[in-house]
Amino acid sequence: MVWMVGVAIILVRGDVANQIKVAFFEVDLVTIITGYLLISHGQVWAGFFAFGQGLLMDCYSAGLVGLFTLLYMTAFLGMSIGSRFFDPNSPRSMILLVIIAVLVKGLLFMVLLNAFSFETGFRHSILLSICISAIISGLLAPFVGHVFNQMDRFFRKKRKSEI
Amino acid sequence: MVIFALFLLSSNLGKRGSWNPAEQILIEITAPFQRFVTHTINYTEGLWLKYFALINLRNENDGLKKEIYALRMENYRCRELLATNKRLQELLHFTETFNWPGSAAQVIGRDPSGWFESILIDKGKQSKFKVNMPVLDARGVVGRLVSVSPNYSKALLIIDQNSAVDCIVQRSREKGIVKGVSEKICKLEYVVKTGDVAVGDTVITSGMGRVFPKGLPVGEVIEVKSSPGELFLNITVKPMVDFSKLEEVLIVLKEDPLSSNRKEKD
Repeated sequence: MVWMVGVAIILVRGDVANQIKVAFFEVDLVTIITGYLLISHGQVWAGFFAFGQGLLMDCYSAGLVGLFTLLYMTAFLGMSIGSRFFDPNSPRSMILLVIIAVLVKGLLFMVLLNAFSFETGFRHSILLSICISAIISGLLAPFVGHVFNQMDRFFRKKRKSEI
Repeated sequence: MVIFALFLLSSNLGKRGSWNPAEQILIEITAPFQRFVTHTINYTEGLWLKYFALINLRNENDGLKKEIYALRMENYRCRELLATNKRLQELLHFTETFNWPGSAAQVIGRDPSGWFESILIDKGKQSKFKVNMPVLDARGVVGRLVSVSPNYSKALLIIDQNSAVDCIVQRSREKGIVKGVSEKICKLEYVVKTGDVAVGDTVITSGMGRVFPKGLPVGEVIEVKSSPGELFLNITVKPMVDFSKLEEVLIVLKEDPLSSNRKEKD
């Protein structure tokens, strides 16, 4: 189910961004879901999810092949390392982990853009938008996690009643 | 009782007056009952006509509402088809202006990253699409194909930072390269300071890049700046195509001109 949500986000994201023009201030749902998987299902599932979503993003994007896979894996590694220092089950830690992950991902992206001599450059407005995106994503992370937990319980109950 | 009735009849023969007191008493006693019965009958009749008979009316109303919805949807579809038809006709007229064969395709998705500018279209190798084929709109150049699968293709738009199109200014024939900056703006680079470029000039493809046929409209010059200490003019170009409203595009079916220099990507 989480996979389906992740795929849907990537497929719908471009059209939504085209309609409402908030690409830079968007909520990084894929990173939030990676964080949720890391806490609820462990590192393997979270890493696998981040890798798969990155690959999918690379397929649909016009960027360098592997760019988004690397970015999502970096976000995953950031959260994975961060989870050793914080209690990942507490909402505050979850907020911090996601903020750090989105910031690291955004900064790496900016560095790569400069390294591959794209014309975007390192602008303050982009840095600000990455910070805003990180904070919004972080604040939303516990809520999204709660929603997924509820859905998970609902489907488990349904499966049990079917059996 | 029969004798009493005969007596009443015979005694009142030839008289046509109002009710006598006895009749009046009778009427006063019975009339309320009659009124009650009449009202009951009228009420029952009304109930029947206004409620039970309305069940059919309600069903009929529901049916008519459904029909209205269906007709409304059909109306939307017809309008949409008309709009699509108009756009495709514009594309067709556009293709008639040059000799390359073209194939129309539908835009089905956009770049999900928010950083790059590309579109996904609903045709691929099976429609003879190949990498580097030009993608056009009725108004001008959209981009070029960068990835092709059997049924889908990805096109890099000219507004992407990675895109570069060899162009000329239509009026003065000044040469330059159009590069993407944002959804609304491109830059015409490498035009020397002495170059003759003015606001309002149309920028067209030069045909030198070997990807786009010559003479396709790319954009309109909206700003020309000359900064001291720089070799080239700083020219801002507004693309002809409104990229936020792309729905159908035309792919020019010409062989990949760059394929002779490198291995076929697809």
